[in-house]
Amino acid sequence: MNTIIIGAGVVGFYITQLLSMEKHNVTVIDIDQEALRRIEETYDVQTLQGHGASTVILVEADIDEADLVVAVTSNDEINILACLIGKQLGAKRTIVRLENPAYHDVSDRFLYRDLLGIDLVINPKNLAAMEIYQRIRMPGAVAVESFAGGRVTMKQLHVTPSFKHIGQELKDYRLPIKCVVAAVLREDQVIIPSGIDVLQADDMVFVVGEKDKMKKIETFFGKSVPDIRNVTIVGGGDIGITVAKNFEAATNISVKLFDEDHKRCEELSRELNRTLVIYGSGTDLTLLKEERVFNTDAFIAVSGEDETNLLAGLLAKELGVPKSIVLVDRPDYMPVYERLGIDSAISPRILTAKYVLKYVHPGNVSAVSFIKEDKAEILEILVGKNSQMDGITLKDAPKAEFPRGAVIGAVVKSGKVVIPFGDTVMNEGDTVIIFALPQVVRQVEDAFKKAN
Amino acid sequence: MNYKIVSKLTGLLILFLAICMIFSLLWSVWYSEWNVAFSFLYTILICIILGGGLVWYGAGTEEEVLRKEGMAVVGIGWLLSGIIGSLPFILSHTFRFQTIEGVQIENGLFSQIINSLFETLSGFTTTGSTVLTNIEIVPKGLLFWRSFTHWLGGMGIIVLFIAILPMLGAGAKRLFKSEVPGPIPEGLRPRIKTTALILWGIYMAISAVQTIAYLLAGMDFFDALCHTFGTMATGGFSPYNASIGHYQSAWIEYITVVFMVVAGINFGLYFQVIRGDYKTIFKDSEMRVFFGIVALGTFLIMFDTMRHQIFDNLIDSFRYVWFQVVSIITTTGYGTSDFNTWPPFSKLALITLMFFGASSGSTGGGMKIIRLMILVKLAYYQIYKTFHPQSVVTLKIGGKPIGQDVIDGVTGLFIIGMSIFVASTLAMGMLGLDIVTATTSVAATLWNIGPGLEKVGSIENFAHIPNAGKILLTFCMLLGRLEFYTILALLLPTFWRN
Repeated sequence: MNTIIIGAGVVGFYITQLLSMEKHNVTVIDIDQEALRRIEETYDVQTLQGHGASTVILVEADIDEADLVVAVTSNDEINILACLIGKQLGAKRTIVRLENPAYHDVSDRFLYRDLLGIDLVINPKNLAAMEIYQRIRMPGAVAVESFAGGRVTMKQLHVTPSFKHIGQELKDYRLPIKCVVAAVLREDQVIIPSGIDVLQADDMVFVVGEKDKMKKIETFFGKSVPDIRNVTIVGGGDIGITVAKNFEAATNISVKLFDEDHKRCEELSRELNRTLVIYGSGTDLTLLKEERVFNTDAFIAVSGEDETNLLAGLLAKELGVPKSIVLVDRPDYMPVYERLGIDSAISPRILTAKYVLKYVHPGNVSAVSFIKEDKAEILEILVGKNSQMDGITLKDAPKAEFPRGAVIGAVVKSGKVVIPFGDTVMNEGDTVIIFALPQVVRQVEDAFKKAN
Repeated sequence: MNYKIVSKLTGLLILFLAICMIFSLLWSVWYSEWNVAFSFLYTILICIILGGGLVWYGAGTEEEVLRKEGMAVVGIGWLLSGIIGSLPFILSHTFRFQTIEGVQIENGLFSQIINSLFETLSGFTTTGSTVLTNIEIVPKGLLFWRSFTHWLGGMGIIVLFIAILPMLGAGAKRLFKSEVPGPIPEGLRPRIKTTALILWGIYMAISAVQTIAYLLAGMDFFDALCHTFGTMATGGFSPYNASIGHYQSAWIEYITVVFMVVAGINFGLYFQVIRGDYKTIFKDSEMRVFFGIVALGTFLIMFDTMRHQIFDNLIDSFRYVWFQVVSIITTTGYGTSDFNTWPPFSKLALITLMFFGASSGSTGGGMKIIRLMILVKLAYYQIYKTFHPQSVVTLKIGGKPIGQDVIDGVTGLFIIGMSIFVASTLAMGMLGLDIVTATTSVAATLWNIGPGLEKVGSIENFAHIPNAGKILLTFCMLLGRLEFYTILALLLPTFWRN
């Protein structure tokens, strides 16, 4: 696949790394000769020095033959323009990084698609904010993934020894909501379970269901969910305010938000409703004690400086906060953080790169995620017209080339989430969430491919 | 100060008042009250000469109405309206003979002038306090004029003036802001003239509906008009001594109470409804608080009056208490029962409601609910800040941030209002009034309500108050109606310096 990456910063670098390892043809464009030199030395890619939105440069990079254009410079406008030009010249798909919140007032990414020909808009700050929010809000879950535009949630849950159904067959479970146990991770082995499989203590289960109802499932496998009541955020930048807004909107959690700039504090207090905005440094120990930060359940440091975030996160740990999440700008440092005692380090750039990779797949497959590196893949696939699966009920699927070792976790029919049963019919235009072992992924993709 | 433009506009305002007076003239002709008809005719002639002179003096000036000129026009305009409006009372010697504490006295010309001014400005400012000792013997033409001043002053003479006059331009906005200060400036439409037209249109439409409702409930046309004017302007003048209580009719009371509530709500919300936005009106936080206070006040006073067995049954208690609570909080001042005989808590609660007032953007007076909400939140945040000294909070009403300038304006108004209340009460005490009469007479006039307690209670009047006291209370009414700043600015010498 011919890919053009515009912007050789951290995001561009990371995407380049992953794509070149998968043997794609990658061309990287950047204005900075030094950044290009570093990429060229490390990976087998072509580089081109010049302005990312210059038609001359883009033509030189053969953008008309590109299957994918990824514009990830730190300048939103250059990114938009580059993709606009690319699309006009014949590039198949475009991905744009947009950071300015003003561009995200149009929450519907399809508007960008129709208006500007941008297939995917990524906001690293929003991704980071969502990641932080989910790590705190879904404490029972080890990992959480969203599909179908956030309507479907997959949760990774731990089966504790107190789970009352241990030893029973899956089909006999009385699940509290409609959801599907799509995969089981047992001692590094992924099992795509059928009704007669049995769960054991310390299994990891992957459960798929409608987003709004998934909270109930958390306690089902025996884990009591510690209630999060207080959250402290340090840094009122775009990420800080988005995280605070998420907490305000979703729950009865009380939020404290520290910022060092008084003017920004005033803006924050205008924007936010229930959040307590405090003017002061997140590394001021007296202030942290004064504001009883030791009572908070989660501490989030998302200021603009890595050093401040790390220090604040460590101070919070020292004060006895159970969970400390820290933003990292330079991903190289990430391994150090966890050794120092920080619970999670979040890098917006790595999140962005991973998000882009979900997109680098055949036309009808739009989101891909992995269980335990590459033990199993989760695919979000559009049912193609006249494909082998078009009009087929779930129970008939195995007869129509749907392989063993794959399971359908959810079907999204015209925006509505359907938790599938044997009689559920898959039709053209539906989105299906599929768990599959790597060796059958190609077969699954083929089964849904459009035919004439 | 550009005196020519001020002269021109006030002159036009006087001519405009002359036109308004024609309706009263017609009523007195209809009832064959020739004496009164002539006093109206003379007043109209005076208006034409004086107004014409002022317009002539200011003719030819093309200059813009700036902030200062706007305030001067509004301040002087209101004062002149009071003086012009009082001429029919003076010329027909309405206040010559009065019965005070059972004794008939004859007033000199000076006292007659003071009484006339008090009565007229009580009308224009929609206060509704009266110095008439026996309302029912006053000729109909004058009674109509008295109520009509309410209606003109309710939505605002200047606002009507803006709606009608074509050539004000940007100056209209400055005039509008001086007469309708409100804590949060909001225009319904980009052009202030359109806004003024819309407000008066809504006002007239609701007034028409109320008049029809009264007619259906059995009132005659004259009474229906007078009571509509009194209700919609939240004024409180009635052509009867016993006010709305005269009719002893539950229907009329319920019509009145409903329209008092309607008049006490921000008129901007009705505009939203007309535009098809039905949701805003129910989401408006000020209106919710207003309804909440009315409900709570009614409940508490009902409880208190039932405990003291003021009423025979629960339904009566609801009927009279609800009416009184709405009448006081909207600063109308109509009465259906003598609340001076109610137990202490009820009376104190009603005095408290006098200070609250109606919604901003309504025709009601008082502090206005939104200012109270801002003050309460401000106080809460001050307390909160003592244990969160580093916190940064933005005061919000209904989710919308309130700017520091608005907060300063509200606290300033509160301080000014309370200071004037205390000072005036002291002055009334100096004139020999008892504590309750002194306090409530000032509260009732400063917040444009009408009746107070004890000797200025709902079945009493203000006739017995000494002339000096009447002058002070008249001034209080004007201050309260224009929300202090405009009038007080005119009193500063620096205002008049160039």
